[in-house]
Amino acid sequence: MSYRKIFSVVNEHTVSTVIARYAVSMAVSCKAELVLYAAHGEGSDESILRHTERHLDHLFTEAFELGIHVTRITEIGNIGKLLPSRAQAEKADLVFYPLMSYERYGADLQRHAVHQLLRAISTDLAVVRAVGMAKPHPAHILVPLARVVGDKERRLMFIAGLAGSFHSRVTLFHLSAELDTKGMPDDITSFGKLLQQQNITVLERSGRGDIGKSITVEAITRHNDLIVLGASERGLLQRLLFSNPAGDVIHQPPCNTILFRPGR
Amino acid sequence: MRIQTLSHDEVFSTLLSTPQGITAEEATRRRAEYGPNEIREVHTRSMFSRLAAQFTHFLALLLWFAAALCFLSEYLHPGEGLLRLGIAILAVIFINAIFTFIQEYRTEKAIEELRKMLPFRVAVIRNGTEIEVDAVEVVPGDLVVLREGDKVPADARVVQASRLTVNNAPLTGESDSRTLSDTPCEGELLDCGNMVFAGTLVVSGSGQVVVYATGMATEFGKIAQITGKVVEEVSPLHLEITRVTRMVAIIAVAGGAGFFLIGSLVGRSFWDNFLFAIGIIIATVPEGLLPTVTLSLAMASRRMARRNALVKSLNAVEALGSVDLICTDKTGTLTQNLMTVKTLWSPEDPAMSGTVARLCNNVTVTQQGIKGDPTETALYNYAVEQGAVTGERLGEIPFDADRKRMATLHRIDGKLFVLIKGAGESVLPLCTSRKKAGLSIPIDTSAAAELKEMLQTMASEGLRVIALAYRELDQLPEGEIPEEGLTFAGFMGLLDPPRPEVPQALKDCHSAGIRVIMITGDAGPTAAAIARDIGLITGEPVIIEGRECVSMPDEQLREELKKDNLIFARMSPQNKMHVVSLLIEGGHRVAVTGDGVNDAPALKKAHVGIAMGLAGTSVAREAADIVLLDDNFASIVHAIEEGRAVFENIRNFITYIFASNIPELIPYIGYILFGIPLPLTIMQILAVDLGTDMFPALALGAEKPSPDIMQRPPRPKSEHLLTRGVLMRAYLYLGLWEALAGMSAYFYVLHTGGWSWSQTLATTSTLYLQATTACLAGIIMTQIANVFACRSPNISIFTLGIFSNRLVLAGIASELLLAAFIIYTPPGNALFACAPIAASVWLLLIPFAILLIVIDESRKYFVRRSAAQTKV
Repeated sequence: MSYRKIFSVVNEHTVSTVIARYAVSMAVSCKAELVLYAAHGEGSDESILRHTERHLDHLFTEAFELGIHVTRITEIGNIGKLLPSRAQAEKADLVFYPLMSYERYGADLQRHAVHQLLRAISTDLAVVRAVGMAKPHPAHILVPLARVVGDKERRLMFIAGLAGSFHSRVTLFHLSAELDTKGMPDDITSFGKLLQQQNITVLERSGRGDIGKSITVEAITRHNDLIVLGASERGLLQRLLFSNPAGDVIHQPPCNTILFRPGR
Repeated sequence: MRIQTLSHDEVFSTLLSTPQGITAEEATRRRAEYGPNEIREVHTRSMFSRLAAQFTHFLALLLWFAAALCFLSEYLHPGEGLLRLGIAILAVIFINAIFTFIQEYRTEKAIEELRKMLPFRVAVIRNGTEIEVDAVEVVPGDLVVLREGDKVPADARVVQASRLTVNNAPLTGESDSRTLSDTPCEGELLDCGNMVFAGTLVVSGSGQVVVYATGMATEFGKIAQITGKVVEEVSPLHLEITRVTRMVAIIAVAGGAGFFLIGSLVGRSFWDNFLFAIGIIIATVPEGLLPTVTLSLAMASRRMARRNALVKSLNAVEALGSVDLICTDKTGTLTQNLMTVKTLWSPEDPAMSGTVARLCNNVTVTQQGIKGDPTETALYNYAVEQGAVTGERLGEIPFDADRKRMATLHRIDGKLFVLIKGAGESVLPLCTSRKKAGLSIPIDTSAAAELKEMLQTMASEGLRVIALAYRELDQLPEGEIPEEGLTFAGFMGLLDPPRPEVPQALKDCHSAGIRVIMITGDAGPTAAAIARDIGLITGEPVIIEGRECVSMPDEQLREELKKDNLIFARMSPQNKMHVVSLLIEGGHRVAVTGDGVNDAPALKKAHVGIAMGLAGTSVAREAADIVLLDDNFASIVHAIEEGRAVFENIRNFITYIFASNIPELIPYIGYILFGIPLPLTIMQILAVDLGTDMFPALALGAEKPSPDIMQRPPRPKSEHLLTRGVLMRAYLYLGLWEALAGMSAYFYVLHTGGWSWSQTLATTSTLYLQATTACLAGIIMTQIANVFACRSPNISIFTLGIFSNRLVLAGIASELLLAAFIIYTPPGNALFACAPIAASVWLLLIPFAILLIVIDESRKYFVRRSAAQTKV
């Protein structure tokens, strides 16, 4: 099973081109259609429109030359409302969304587009925070996992698709105080085997301590180019009391980081 | 597709840049998108939270509780003076918190002034024009122009290079410079020769690079980020103070509850028992402990600063004293980081060796001095000192990391020469002749073997060996400079000399029972040679390289760490932190020294991180607990000495402070059990705990290190600040003697005033006030003797010198002045419910003070004798 239609949101920021390159590579690998999507608020500045169009032109050309079936869509309005309906209408399987530095994931009291999209989009959603332009093709992907891997099928499809596109090595990373005696949780080991069946090189690593800090330290010390986190399933109260590791990592990421929210 | 693998055009395309750079408008947009190109402080606590922490640690909470009890008691039963007591306790909390906060704030500010890593101004091409901008303004996609002497502002990909050579030492720790090119590379990012990294230095040449990562996204920034995320080990003193305060809390609350119960059983009223319990708690809690610990640490840190060790965190002072293992870097810490020519082996051709060294060289001579690669600078300086000739350069084949040699074509005195220098294994095969008695003779098999053997011998001494050769030409070459048919000139052996004071410092470490392990990014033989030279190793070295470290299982590495003469070579930052972690897990108290960015995570992880102040990077200095202002390894030994003294001094003043608890408790016990008038009031207790005891206790904190402190091993981890021996000495011996003095004076005044047993006395009567004052005077007098006794647990005060600690004398003077105020002035009398006492009371108390010293000196004598007999 693989993606058939991938959306990538492009805007006036250069980081959106980095994220779009992930989408382009996955589209090549999965032989999927690619839709380059832009939405501008009403009354947007002319320079924003110009920069966005320039990025769209650049990416469209790149995708076209790679033989991908690519279309570009530009709409006027609130992206938080337009994108979910467009993605549904176009029957998209996966949407890449570039997270800006001012958008704080997990801060429910804020009303950024990403929060609207998390609620409204029904497809697989990859919210990407890019910190650099140098590694559009990551060689090492870090995937932190909890003891029980939720939405295994969707998660497998995404990670396998991503790693397969770039021939990347995937490191499954787990934190537990009990690891020394019991080894890696069975769910993670079986997930690793499923990835290996898709010809992905898999490593297993463990750590202890604060989740957010440990993920960051692991990513830097092991030279990972990309982190793929699961969207936090903690409720508001849980996040207030016990913090939000995914939010902490994506707010100050050591490298490009994807927050993957499986489709409903 | 990774940045290092891209072709020239692909780099511009991927980074959305052009050979004319980006526009100014685009730069502004990207700056808003990626933020400024700077290293942010990660996870620093706000000033408010740091100040708040001073009010919420355990002892402060205990004092808050005591103050709350006082205010509650005053509300329920006013007029007992508890309001004043509560306010006084609050004053202690606030003064201590603010004092500690100011100390830490001042030392941190001193460190902040050392921050100067990223360059200020950078040349970039925007809109097709070269301009200068602040380094903080550089954005991804910028086309930066690098020239000799520049610091690289951000991580970038080389797109044009003209002998562009960089030194990555600030990032990787390796002292070798690297010549870069713009050709694609399939290797890992840090290994590729077409990349430059923020914080590194351009040694020579020039080039253009396209930025792909700025600020915290650079390799430099990532190290700063993980440095901020490494969990610091809690200092041993912090653990001990927490333990002491918990024990004190248990004793205080148990005592208060116990006496409340006893009071209830003997039929006293609830309110009387409650007041009594509060009195017991307040008497037991050493309110003066916190300020004296803080001031002792602060005074020690000032003494350490005078010895060139700047302390950033007060807890690091004592932590350094408990260290039993130092992991030290080599270059810049044990050595001077100055490559020099140690030896020239050129039996027949020294002049030509000098000529090659001087002319086959790309250093730049400026008004500020010689600029260039450290190895080339060393060769050039040596050659100039030897009087080598100059010439006109006509051509060059630049140094290449694969070929490992460099060639130049020169005209010298009208003659044409090819001059070649490089690694022995690269240059020797090209040599076909050598000079002997002024004649050029072929190199036969035995001569070749001799040269190889000499090369190996010099390398085994830890020298970096440069082979020098030349060839005379009849005419200018038509194509490439010919590199074969050379005449061998000589070998130059280079070495980074050790710091002169290091051997003695290592001997001091050895006698103090502190083990030193070298962890370096340099090669094994070089590291071993230096280690032998400075006396770090005595036998056969055990060298573990970084790649072995990575593949070695932790269990095996733990066993290797126990071996003597251990050296870690070719170590990466991750390896270093891994080794430090294992040593800490193994129960060692570890200090780590370093100066590079690569040292920062290990500096943070260790119990004490020690950075170099002069040569150290700002990231290393910020991660460290202590900064050596003179980069001198020997200063660490002095700092350890001071740190050890701190633990001893804190234990001494705990003994001193705790001793006064017993004479404060005994009066209450007497009052409860025997029905005598209360011999000591709460305000008088406060006068001792917060008044007369404070300055002498502080003076104990300033005691100099005892003469044998560096001849003893580090204190064991299991040894605590507060031990049974300390409690017994304070409570059962010194304290009881003080109680005896106080109660004797009390009863003396009552007896001479005509009081008889079970007679009630009004609390405002002169006789009662005088009697309680006499009890107070007894405590004060014996505390004066106690401060001398507590200067050392085992060494006689006559050995130390009675007057050697002038602060003790000043403390006693202030104690007597305060006593005089309390006892002989109306305001003092009114505040503390006292009355003037006769001289006869003091005459009665003097023998108690003298006998305290006599008895304690006798005890110390027997303890020393017993210890000496045990040794034998």
